[in-house]
Amino acid sequence: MKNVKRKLLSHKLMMISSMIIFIMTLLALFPPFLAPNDPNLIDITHKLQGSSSKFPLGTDHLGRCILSRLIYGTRTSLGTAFLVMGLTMMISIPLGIYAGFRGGWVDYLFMRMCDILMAFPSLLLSLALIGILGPGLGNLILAMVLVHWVFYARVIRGMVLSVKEQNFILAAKVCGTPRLVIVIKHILPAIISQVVVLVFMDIGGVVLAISSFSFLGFGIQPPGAEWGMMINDSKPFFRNAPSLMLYPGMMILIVVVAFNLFGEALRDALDLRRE
Amino acid sequence: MLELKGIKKTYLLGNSVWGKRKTVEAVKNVSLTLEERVCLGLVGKSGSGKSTLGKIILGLEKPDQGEVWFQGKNLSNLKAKELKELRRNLQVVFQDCYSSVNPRLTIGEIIAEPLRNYERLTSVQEKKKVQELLEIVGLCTEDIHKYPYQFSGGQLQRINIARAIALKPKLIIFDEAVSALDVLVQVQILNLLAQLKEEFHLSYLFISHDLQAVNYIADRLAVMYNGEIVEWLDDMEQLERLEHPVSKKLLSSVLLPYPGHGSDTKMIY
Repeated sequence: MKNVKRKLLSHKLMMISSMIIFIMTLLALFPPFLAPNDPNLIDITHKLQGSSSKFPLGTDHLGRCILSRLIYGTRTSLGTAFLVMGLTMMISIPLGIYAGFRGGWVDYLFMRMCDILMAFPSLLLSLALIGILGPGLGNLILAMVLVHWVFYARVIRGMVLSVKEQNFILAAKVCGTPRLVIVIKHILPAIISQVVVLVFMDIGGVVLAISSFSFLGFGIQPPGAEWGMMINDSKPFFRNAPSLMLYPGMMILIVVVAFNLFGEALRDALDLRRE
Repeated sequence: MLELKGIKKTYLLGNSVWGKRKTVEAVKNVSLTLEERVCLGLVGKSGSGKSTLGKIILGLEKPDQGEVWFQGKNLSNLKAKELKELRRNLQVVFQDCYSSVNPRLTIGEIIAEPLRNYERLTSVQEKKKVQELLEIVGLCTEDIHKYPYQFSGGQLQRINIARAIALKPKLIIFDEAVSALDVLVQVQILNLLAQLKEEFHLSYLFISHDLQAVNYIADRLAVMYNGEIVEWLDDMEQLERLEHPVSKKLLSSVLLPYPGHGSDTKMIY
């Protein structure tokens, strides 16, 4: 563990990306204290203003403070992304481990089901699901979880397969350890670091997906603040006020890049077979 | 004590939807008996089905045909609870000592694993027992808090042996247990095994391709070839009497300590 810590600390990109993630998390956790204005306060008299001391990043077409909306949007984007990932893992980890460890016809059935679900492009499938369920943040989360768990369960199954045949699992079976204990004590600790890396490498993608759904109008509904929706809102004013589009776009970029770098650095640091 | 009756195991190869799948007969019709306090050496080339046979006895693989009788009971038609009770008398040590221990657990936890499954011990009792076991296999009692990467192959194999004898089993299967170690350590481990066998009245099934090691520890010998037992030897003194070509090949593959001194097949230790 010490080794991992040292490796993480010596990693420059890691430090930068974790700083960004830390700041973003702060923004997401305490927007009422950090935002200068009410994000939903409409004031047509101040619409499309440049930056000023009252509105540090200016205002949008309804006179709302952009900075405040960005800060509140962090909560929506990151919160939703972590919720989607968390729920996905709650389905994927048990099912992936069960299929991989059990093997046989259960595994076969599971794999064929994965094949069917993975034959559809995931964005399209989520879109179809949202179309059925109706727009809204709750339905967006549900649709994304339902589409994404398959992929992770499959990867986790693969990890379990590679651990399962190791001698210490066989030895545990021989000395009478119950299956559930084998899973908790031997299999889960062996794969969990890989799963964490997987989660952090992909959470940027989830942020991006949520923003794209909001951009299309399927995610959070007005007047709630969300980056993708802000970009969509500012489309008509692109020529007069390009910064309206630029700021939320930059936020998405920064968050996605930070998470990708963080995930990659984590993978490098944890890639120690036998510490 | 252990009796195998007509064990057969076939593995399917590949995944063909149409037509006949390719198969490999790993074990064909093997029957053998093992009495108490005897060490049976099972030798053969790699791929001759020795390890599969070991896994079938341990219950890690199911035979397609045949029965495994252990302590007078047929393992295939026992209830789960009875099976668990019986299995505590049946333990294993594998060849790859590094992958036989979970690298994330301490030595104490590794050796205590079988104890936790079968005996309700307090943590103090458990620690004492583990320390006893460590001493039996010739390691320090302070090693209890160390991790597997801090040990050499020979030491790890001692830890595996400690785990195998923790429940005081009747039969231990050694699947190439010393083959990965250097010769000097091999002799140390074999001496330890011989001593443990006397002390705890154990039986061994010693699977190996190395006739020299088997000769050192086994009382009886079975030679396996292509999934069948081709030759038996009840007395290890008469090693030269082996007749089957495979046995002869194995015998001639033993390296002599003084190669220049003619073809004296007698082994010197």
